Amino acid sequence: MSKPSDLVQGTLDMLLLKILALGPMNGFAVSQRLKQVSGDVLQVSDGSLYPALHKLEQEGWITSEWKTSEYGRQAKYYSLTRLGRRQLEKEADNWGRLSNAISRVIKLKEA
Amino acid sequence: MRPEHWLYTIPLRLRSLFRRAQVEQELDDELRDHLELKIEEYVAQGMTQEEAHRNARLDLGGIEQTKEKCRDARRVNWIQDFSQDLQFGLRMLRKNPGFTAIAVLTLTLGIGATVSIFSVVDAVLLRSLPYADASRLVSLYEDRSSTGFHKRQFTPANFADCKLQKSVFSDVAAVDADRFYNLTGNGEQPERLSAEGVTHNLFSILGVQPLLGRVFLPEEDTPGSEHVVLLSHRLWQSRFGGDRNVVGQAIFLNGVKYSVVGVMPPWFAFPDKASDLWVPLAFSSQQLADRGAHFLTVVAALQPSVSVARANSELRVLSQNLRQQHMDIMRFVDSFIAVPLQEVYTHEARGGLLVLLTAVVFILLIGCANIANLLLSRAASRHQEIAVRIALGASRGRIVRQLLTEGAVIAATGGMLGILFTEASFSFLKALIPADLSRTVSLRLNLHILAFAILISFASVFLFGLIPARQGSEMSASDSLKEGGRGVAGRRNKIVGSLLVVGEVALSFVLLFASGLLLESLVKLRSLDPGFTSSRVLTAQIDVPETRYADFVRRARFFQAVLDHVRAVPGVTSAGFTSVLPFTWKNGMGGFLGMAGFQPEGILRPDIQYGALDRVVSPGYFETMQIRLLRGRFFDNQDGPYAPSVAIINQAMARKFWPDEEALGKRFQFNLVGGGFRSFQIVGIVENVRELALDETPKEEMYFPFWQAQGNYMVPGTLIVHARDDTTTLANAVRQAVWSVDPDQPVSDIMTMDDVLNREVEPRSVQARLLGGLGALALTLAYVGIYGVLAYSVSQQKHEIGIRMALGATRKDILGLVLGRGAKISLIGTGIGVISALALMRIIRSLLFGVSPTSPVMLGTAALLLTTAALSASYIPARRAMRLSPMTALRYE
Repeated sequence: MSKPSDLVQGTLDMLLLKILALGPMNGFAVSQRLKQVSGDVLQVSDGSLYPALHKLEQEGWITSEWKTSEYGRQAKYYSLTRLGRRQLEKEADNWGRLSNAISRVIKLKEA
Repeated sequence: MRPEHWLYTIPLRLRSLFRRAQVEQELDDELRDHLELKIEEYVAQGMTQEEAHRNARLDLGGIEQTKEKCRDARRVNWIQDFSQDLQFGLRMLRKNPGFTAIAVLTLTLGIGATVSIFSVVDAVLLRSLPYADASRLVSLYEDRSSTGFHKRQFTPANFADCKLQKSVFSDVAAVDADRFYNLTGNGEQPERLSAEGVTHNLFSILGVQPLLGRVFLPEEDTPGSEHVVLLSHRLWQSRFGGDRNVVGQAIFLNGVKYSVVGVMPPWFAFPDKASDLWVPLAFSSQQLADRGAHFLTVVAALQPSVSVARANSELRVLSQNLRQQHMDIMRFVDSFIAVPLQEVYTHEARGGLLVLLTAVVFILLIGCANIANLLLSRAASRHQEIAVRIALGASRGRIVRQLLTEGAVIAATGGMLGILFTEASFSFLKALIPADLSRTVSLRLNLHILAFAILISFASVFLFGLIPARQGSEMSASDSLKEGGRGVAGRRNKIVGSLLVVGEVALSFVLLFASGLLLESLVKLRSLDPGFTSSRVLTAQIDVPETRYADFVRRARFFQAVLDHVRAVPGVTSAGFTSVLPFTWKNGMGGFLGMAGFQPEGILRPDIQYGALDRVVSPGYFETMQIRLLRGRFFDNQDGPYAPSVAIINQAMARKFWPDEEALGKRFQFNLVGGGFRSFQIVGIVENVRELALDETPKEEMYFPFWQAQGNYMVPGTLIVHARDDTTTLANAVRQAVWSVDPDQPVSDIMTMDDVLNREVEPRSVQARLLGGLGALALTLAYVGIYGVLAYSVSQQKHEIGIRMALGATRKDILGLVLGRGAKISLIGTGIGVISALALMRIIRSLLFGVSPTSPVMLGTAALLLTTAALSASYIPARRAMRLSPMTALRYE
């Protein structure tokens, strides 16, 4: 079970951006979705989630608004911005290159 | 990409800044929401409410810490933090008024004193010349080192030759300084005015515009067209009532009609503050060829690419060429030299001012050390508060910033009050400005000075704030929250505190020692015998213009008549005339030293010029000044124009030129009348008079009787009167006596010889007093510092003291313990101070007189003073420690 907090901070950012690309949701929903989609492999600790979301908002990659949720209460919903979408693409590209390179190394035939 | 980014983030940041409460509320709501949802999920998974609650909270980590991390992520924190720190700091300072008052007061004094002295340094050394492009201006002198005077005035012919050096100087002007004119007419009292003859290009070289009218035209530099005059602002106000129609008016100077062409601005005072008028220096071609008369002050503007060093080497070459061509006259000229104009006025004052500046910086450092100690002791007592902050998520940097902000508040307050202090000190500090500059330079707050004040305020925050802040933040949370957890941090504070005080003591010692040396120099100087008496002696200037009396006989009769009338005034015991009053002619710009050459007969070679100071005096001069006659006789009325030419010399001259024989009766040649050398016989030898300055050894001097001084070379214009009693009522009577002989003759500069003497020592006196004041201030600050550090350590060590007492230490032992600590600090500090003082005192050697910079007596005195102060400062805390009862001490936590 590897936690994203073990990975570089930038990877967490990318994951969060991608989740939000699926649609606007609040913080709790983001962490649930990530857990669900990754088959429980990737779990963000609550203590790291919110600071990360706030930072993403500060950079202008996501934006937030208070909406009335389905249960009738006010909740803060985050959504991806156009800037954020571009950032996501960029980071996804980098990640792809990185993971290919690592795979190539790992798949080397040993003597 | 970038601009879009800003579009999103700026509103956000602004919101964080200005809608803080709302943002905080939102953050709280968001996290609360999350918790609720988490709890619901856990309950759905089967946990109980309490378990769900607990697990949800654990998952989130510390709510406060998470909130803080979110806030950090928003990154506008530094402004929020700063205003928070500021508010908190102000509150803390208000809660401890005693501490705040002492800190602010100390800093006000330190910053105020430093900025004050810096203002003087700025005004005198950095910007004293209000002329355009002042750095290009130089003053030229003839260097005649072989006669002992390095800066002699120029002759007209040499001036003309310098003017031709276009490659070095863009322009050269000459000034015939210290002329005087009697202003008569308008039915008012005759007034003696100080005037300068200047070539017309002086004003363009200095880059000065007149306030009214115009400056001189080139044509007015020719004889016949030179009857125009420029008024000084002061004269325009006092004599002409500031009348704007004064341009074009005619005035009578020495009986000749002059036309006013302009008025100069109030700050213009060239070459010195005494200048009332400027007239054109109209050389005839004959005068311009004169290479023998040294009376010109020369100012030049360097060509843009020429440095002072290059100008000097070119001048050396020029002077050597001229010497070859005119060997007979220029025999004693070594070289021509150029000195930056700035230096000319300030080089004497520079040493003293820099010493004062260093002294106030010391005071500031000492003050900062005290405040640092105060902050240290407070930081230690706030360790619990700091521990809580750390537990709540504050980083170490944050805590340091907060402590520094408190320091900044103190510094800002101290800085502002310090500037007010500076403003108030200007009236006292005016006395430090060299006399010649006192009209051009005024002490004012300007941008320079304000910037400097802000700079040192900031610097002092770092100086006194950094150490306590770092120490304060170094305590780890768990350490400090434990009971009695002062431990390691406390001990380290103690060492730092002691080190600071040791440093203070060392600096104070250096200051005390230096001020003691200066004070002793002053006392030694004042107690010197100048060679004449100054009490109950009145002096007055009676300058008779050349044109007033047609010939010498009539002029001499005027002086004799004045003497007779003055001697008849009741209360006058004796009176006499001299050409120059002691201390009034000095080296420097515009000063005429009156070194003349003469060829003694016999012993010394007739073809070499020797130098001595020359004076023309009337009979009665020596008696009035009570200058002792060693051998021979004084002048009397028998020494008339047809009697044999006689002279009186002083002992220094006798010893120097007739070392192995009796000088009385010997002869020498001197060019007194301006028509050739005449031989004089020595009829009297008088004791040495300190003619030039109190702190200079008397130079060789020769006196001639005024009845035999037929030329205008040296006119005896200074009247000296010795009174039986007090001189204050005498001034009017003297004036009346003069006016009964000639009602149009101005009588000016009436002052007592004591005043002249005081004026002579005034700069030194002000310096010594200032430095003495600073030394006392340093001592007080060191006293407070030692007291503070010991009082604090006693209060921190009550527990330990209680234990000692319980284990058998007597009260005396405790007393000894604390006193011992105080003594150790002061001895180490004094020791360091002694070593530093010995190393640094060479620097102020030039300011001292009659005192060695390593004087053991002074070292001992300063050390004793400091140690006594230190011990008395230690006494009160020591007594307090001694009085502790062991039970309460042990109970104290």
